[in-house]
Amino acid sequence: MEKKSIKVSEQNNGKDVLLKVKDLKTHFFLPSGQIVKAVDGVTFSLEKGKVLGIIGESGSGKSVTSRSIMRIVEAPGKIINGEILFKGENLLTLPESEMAKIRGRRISLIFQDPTTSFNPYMTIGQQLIEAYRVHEKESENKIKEIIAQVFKLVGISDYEDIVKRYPCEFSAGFRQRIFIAMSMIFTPDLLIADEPTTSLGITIQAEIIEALNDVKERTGTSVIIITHDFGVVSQFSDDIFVMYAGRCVESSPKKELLLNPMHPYTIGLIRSVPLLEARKTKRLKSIPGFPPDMMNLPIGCAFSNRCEFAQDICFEKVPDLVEIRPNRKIACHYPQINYQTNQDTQI
Amino acid sequence: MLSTIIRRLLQGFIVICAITIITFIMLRMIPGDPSRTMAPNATEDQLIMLRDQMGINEPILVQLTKYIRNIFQGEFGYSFFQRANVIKVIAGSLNASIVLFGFALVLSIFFGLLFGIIAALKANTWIDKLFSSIAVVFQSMPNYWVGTMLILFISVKLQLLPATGYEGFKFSILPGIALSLPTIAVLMRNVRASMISSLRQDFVKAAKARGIPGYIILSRYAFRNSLIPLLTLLGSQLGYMVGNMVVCEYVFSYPGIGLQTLYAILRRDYYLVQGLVVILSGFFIVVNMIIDIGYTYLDPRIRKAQGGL
Repeated sequence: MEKKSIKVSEQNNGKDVLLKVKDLKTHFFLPSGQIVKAVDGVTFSLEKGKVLGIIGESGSGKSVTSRSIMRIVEAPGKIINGEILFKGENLLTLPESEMAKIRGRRISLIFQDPTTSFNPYMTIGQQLIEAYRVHEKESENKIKEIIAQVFKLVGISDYEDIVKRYPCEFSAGFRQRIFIAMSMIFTPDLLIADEPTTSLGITIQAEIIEALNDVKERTGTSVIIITHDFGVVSQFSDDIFVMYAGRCVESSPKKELLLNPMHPYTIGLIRSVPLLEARKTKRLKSIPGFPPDMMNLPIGCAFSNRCEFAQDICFEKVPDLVEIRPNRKIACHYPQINYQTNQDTQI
Repeated sequence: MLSTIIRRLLQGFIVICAITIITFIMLRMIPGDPSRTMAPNATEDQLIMLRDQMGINEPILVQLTKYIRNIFQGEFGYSFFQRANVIKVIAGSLNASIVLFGFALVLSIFFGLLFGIIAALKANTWIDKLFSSIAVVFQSMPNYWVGTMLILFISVKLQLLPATGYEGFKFSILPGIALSLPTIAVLMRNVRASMISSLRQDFVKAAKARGIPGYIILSRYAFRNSLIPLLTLLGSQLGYMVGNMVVCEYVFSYPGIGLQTLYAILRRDYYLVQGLVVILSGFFIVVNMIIDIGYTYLDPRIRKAQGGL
C-alpha cells in the first residue's frame, strides 16, 4: 500500500498525468436570476491507465463535471472558470472545431440509461458506422471489422446479426454493452462512465462493471467512473474523489479512503452501505437531513447542517481542500484522522 | 402490412356508408325544400309534380334504398340546380380545390417547420419570443377576416393578384395564404415544442458527446424524433383545413369543392351534398390511413411490435 502511494506521487509530478482539472467552475444561470453553482472549484487529476471514481449524491455536480470535461454543458449552464488539461492541452481554450475532434475519439462518454442513449430510429450498425465516420473516412467493410473487434472487447461475439437490428430489440444491459463498444471504437485515452449501472438490475450491474474492467485492462484506457454507489467504486477504481454540493470534499487512493475515511460526509456514505456480514438486527446508519438545496447553500461548509462534528466555524467559513497526507486531500475543519471504518461497520 | 391496409380500407368503407345514410336522413329532416328554391313562383300542384320528378316525394326510406341501389350501379344522382351529373359537377370543381389545398399545405408545412425549428434552436431568445407571438396572432385571426384584408390590400390597393375566381394558379395564391396562416401558426408552435423536447433527449446529448456535428444531430436525431407527434398533429390539422377551405373559397369566390358544398347545402341540393360528403370523408379516411402507415415506417419500435412489414 505504502509503495503504491509513493509511486502515485512520483507519476503525478512526472509526465503520466492524462487529465488534470484545476478549479473548474460550472454555474447555471437560471432565467429567474438565480445562480446554481453545480460545480464550484473542482480540482483533480487522473493518470494514464488509472480509474478514478467520483462519488456523491444526486445533485452533487458529478455529471456536470463530466459534461464540462466534454464541453457539452447545456444552457443555461456555463463553464466560468478553471482549466481542463488533457494531455497537457487546455480543453477549455480549444476552438469548438478542435474540441469536436476530441469528443468520441480521444474522450468518450457513457450515459446512465442505455434505453434512451441510442437513437431509436437508426440501427445499431448505422449508429456505430456514423460514430466512426464522424471522425474518419473509411470503407464500410473496414469499419465493420473494427466494430467486430470492439464488440469482442465487451464480450459480444455475433456482431453480424446485431448491427442490423434497432436498439429497441435489446435488453438494457445488452444495450449498455453495445454503448461501451461504441465508445471504444477509436480506443479513446479517456472513458468517462456517468452512472453506467444505475438504471440496470443488480446482476447486470456486475456484468457491466466487469465489461468496463475488461475494456480498461485490454486497452489501457483511463476511466472516470461517476456513481453514487460505493459498491461500484470499491470494485473498480484506483482513486476516489468524493463530491458534495459541487465541491470536492475528499480525495484519496481507494483503499485508504474505504478503511480510513476522514470527511464526515464520506464516513456517513460508507456507513450507509449495507454489508453482507453485518448482523441483521443492526440498523443501517443514514446521513441525517437532506441533500443540499443548490439554490440556497449554507454560508460555511455545505455539509455543516448535516454534520455530527460541526462546530461554529463550520457554519461561517468554507473549508479549503488541503493535502493532509501524500495523496490525501480533504476539505474539512475537523477531519476525523483516526476514524476506522471497522469500528462500527464490522467489515 | 397489406392486411392492415385492407382492414383500414374496409373500415373506411363502413364509415362512408354510415356517413352517407346519416347525411341522407339529416338532409331531409332539416327544414327547406329544394323544389321551392327551384321554382319560387310555382303553384302547389306544380310543386308536387316537380317533387315527383325530383324523386323527393316518397318516404325517406324508399328514397334511401333507391339511392343506394343507384350507387351500386355507379349512378350518384344529379344536381337539381346545375342540371348535371353529380360526378361531373364535383370533377369540375375538384381541380381548383386540389390546387388551393395543395398550395396551402405546402406553405403550411414549409413555413411551419422552418419557423418552428428556428424558434426551437433560439429557444427563449428574442427571436423565439417574436416568432411565438406572431404565431399566436395568426392563430387567433379568423380566416374570413384575413381573406378580406388580403383582398383589400393586395388585390384592391396594390392590384398585385386577382381577388376572385379561378383561371390559373395566380388565383390560388391569396386564398392559399389565407388558408395556410393559422396552420403555419399551429405547426410552428408544435414543431418548436417537440424540437425543444427532442433536443433534450439523452440520445441527442450522447450524439454530441460522440462529436457528431450539429446539422446531423438536428436532422437525423432531433427532427426525426419530432416527426411522429407532428404527423399526428398534421392529421387533425388537415381536417380543420378542409373546414377553413369552405370559408376561404366563399370569401374569394373561389369555385372549388368548398364553395360547391356551401351552395349545395344552402339550396338543399340533396344529391350533390351526398356526393361531396363522400368525397370529403373519403379524403379524411385516406389521409388517416396514410398517417397510420407512416408511423410504422417512421418508428422501428411500432414496426417491430406489429411483427415486421
